[in-house]
Order: sequence, then C-alpha cells, then structure tokens
Amino acid sequence: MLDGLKKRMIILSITAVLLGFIIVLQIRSLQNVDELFFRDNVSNIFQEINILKEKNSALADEIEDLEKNLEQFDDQNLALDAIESEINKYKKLSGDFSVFGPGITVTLTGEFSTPWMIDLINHFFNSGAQAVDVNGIRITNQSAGFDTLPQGQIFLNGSILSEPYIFNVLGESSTLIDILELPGGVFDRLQATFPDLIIETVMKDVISIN
Amino acid sequence: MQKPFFISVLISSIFLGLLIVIQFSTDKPIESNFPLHELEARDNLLKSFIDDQSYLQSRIVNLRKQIDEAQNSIALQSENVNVDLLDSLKKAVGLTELSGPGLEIILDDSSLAYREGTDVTDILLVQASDIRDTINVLNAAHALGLSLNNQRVIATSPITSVGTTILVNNSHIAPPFVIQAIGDSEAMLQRLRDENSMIDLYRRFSQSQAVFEVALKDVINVPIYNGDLQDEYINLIEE
Repeated sequence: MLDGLKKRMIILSITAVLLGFIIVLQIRSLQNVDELFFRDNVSNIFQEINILKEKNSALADEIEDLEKNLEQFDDQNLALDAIESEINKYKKLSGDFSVFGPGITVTLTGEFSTPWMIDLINHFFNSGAQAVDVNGIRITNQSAGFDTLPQGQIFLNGSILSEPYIFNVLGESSTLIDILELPGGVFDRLQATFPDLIIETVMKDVISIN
Repeated sequence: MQKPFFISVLISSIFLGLLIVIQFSTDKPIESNFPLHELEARDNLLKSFIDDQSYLQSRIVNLRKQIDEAQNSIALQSENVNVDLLDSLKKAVGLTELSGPGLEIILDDSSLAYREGTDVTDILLVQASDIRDTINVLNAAHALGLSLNNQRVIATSPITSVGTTILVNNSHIAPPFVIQAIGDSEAMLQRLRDENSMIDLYRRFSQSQAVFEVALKDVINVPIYNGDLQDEYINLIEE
C-alpha cells in the first residue's frame, strides 16, 4: 500500500517537473513568434554604426555637390547651367514628371494590409529606392498617405488599390533585392504575417513611372 | 490527509520544473559581457558619428540657403531663369521652410520603460512603426509639411529602428518623439482620433501607458529637408 503510494508520488513529481518544463518552453516559443511578427527589425549596435557611417558619407557627398553648385554662381553662364540642372533634378524627384530607370518590380498577390503597405514602402526607400509607385500611383509628398476603407481595402490618393499590388521601384536593383530578401528581412516578416501572400520580384533594366 | 500532501508535492514539483528550466536556459549573463570601457568606447563612437551628422546636416541647410540667395540674385539679372518653376519644385521636394497652423503630436515611452541597458522593455517603448503610422495618418489627411524632432519628413524619408534606436532619414533621434504637421488641423485631428486608423498603436499604448498627446497649434514651423537627395537612377522622360 505504502509502496504503491510512493510510486504514484514519484510518477506525479516527474510529471509535474516535465509539465513545468513544457510550460516554460511554450511561453518562450510564443515570445519568439511575437518577435517574428514584429513590424520592425531587431538588430544590433554594429548595424547602427554602419548606417550612421553610410549616412554621413552620403551627407558629405551632398555637401561636395552643393559646394560645386555654389561655386558656379560666380560666373553668370555657369550659374544658368547650375539652375537648369537643379530644375532637372527636382523635376525627377518631385513626382510631377514622368521618369524611368533601372530597378525592380515587386508583385504581391493575396491578402495584405495598410500598416504593412506603409512598412514595405518605407523599406524600399530605406534600401535605396529613389522613386516608387504602387499600382501606377507614385509615392510623393502629395500622395504619401494610405487609408483603410471599412471593408479593409487600401486607399491611396483617391483610388482603391486592389491585388495584385504592383510596386515599381527605381534604384540599384541588386542592392534593393539583397536588402529586401535578407533572412529575417521585410519579405520574410511579410510572408510570416501573411502565409498565403505570393511575393514575386523581377529585376528590370528600364521601368517607367508616370 | 493524503490530498493536501499530493497538492503540495504537485505545486512544488511544477515550481521546481520552472526553476530548472530558467536556470539552464538563461541565455543572458547576469552581468554584461562587455567590459565597461568597451561600452564607453561604443557610446563615444556613436556620439561622434551623431555629432558629425548634426554638423553635416546644418552645413547642407546653410549651403542650400546660400544657393537660394545666389539663384535669386541671378534671377534678378537674367530673364532666362524660370524662378517660379524652381520655387514650386523646391516646395514639392521639401526644400522650403513652411509655416502655418497645425498639430503637434508627442509620442513618448511609458514612464516604466527602459530604452537602454540590459533591461530593455520593448512593449513599453514607442516603436518606429508607431511613428510611421502616425505620419501616414497625417499624410492621408493632406498635411502640407511634416517634421519629426525638428527634421523634415518627406515621402522618401525612411523611419526605421535598429534595436531600440529610432532613425529618421537615417539620423538618430531620441524620445520624446515630436511630430509637427502643418495643414487642416481639424481634419488631421479627426483622423488621429479614429482608433481604426491606428489600431496597433491605440491597443499597445493603452496597455503600456506610453504617451500619445495631440495639441492644436496656431503656428508651426517646419524646417527644410536637411538630408541628401539621390537621383542617379532616375531619368526624365522628355515630353
């Protein structure tokens, strides 16, 4: 009788220890899932330093260009050329004029949401995109805000966007793809959030954005 | 007699199991791996990059102002300069200061949060996605100009995070995050108050007690964009 009781107690204790073990593992695995669905990158100090270094180098290049530009104003003819080239640069960037260049086309087919649309476009620009359009609407200072309609559709600049969502992204194709397709990067997180979403990326020599 | 004994054995065993797992699967050392001088060196390196960045950004703003003045002066001397086009393009790109009525939105971490050190509390912190969502709502309400911690935010401005550090235009910014928006205050306010427009933010902020404050302002000044403008992969289609 006592032996039976002892045996049951041992079994009960082992089961309880295993139960505790499993509870902790489960909690930890759920935390990992949360991290996977997190909309922002989890990264480290070395990446931060690298970004700041690259940014400072880009700012230094911009200063060099601006200084050269300013020097041209000492001569009236050169000044007129400088103004003309400035007008051309801002025409390309303003979004009011049609542009073309190399880049990638990303096609998303399936369920998708406004917050992820915002994140994806943010990632395009962070990866070096110089111009982006989605379903034919260029993202500019005048058309940058997305809305969600009551039925869940994504609304931009007076138009309802429907799938497939086609993004034309102008920039250095290989750099864009390398960054977007990084393990744990935006495409991985997007796929983890929307398992049925089909993501197709094509590099192109010439893409037009109107 | 046996039942309370069984229950106490059961509870103790579960507790023991939890302790064993925590003990053996702790992956963070109680004390940091980094010696103090390495942490200090890391912080100094970051600070030096951030200081350089501030200098470079202010130099860019200054050069753009000088170019502006030089352009105006040339425009007075020559009829061949299309100043109106240049000005309207600069405005579209974000290279003119703006002033007008609007909103000031403050996003700040919960008072219980730690953004640095080994006790970082992600759930209580403002995330880059919170800032992006807020700016998106303001853009959707047709904000005419936006700044974040006094940095102009344009359509191509990435707002990202590296760990717990938030970057706008790839420049480091620290909380509180102050967004200023010029435009139709009522329209922007209405959108911001609509919880459906920022479901994630409202749900997380109500749980974490992070700060989300909106104030109407008669005058808001938005500075010019102080970053680089890359265009080497874009070509104009001649019409």
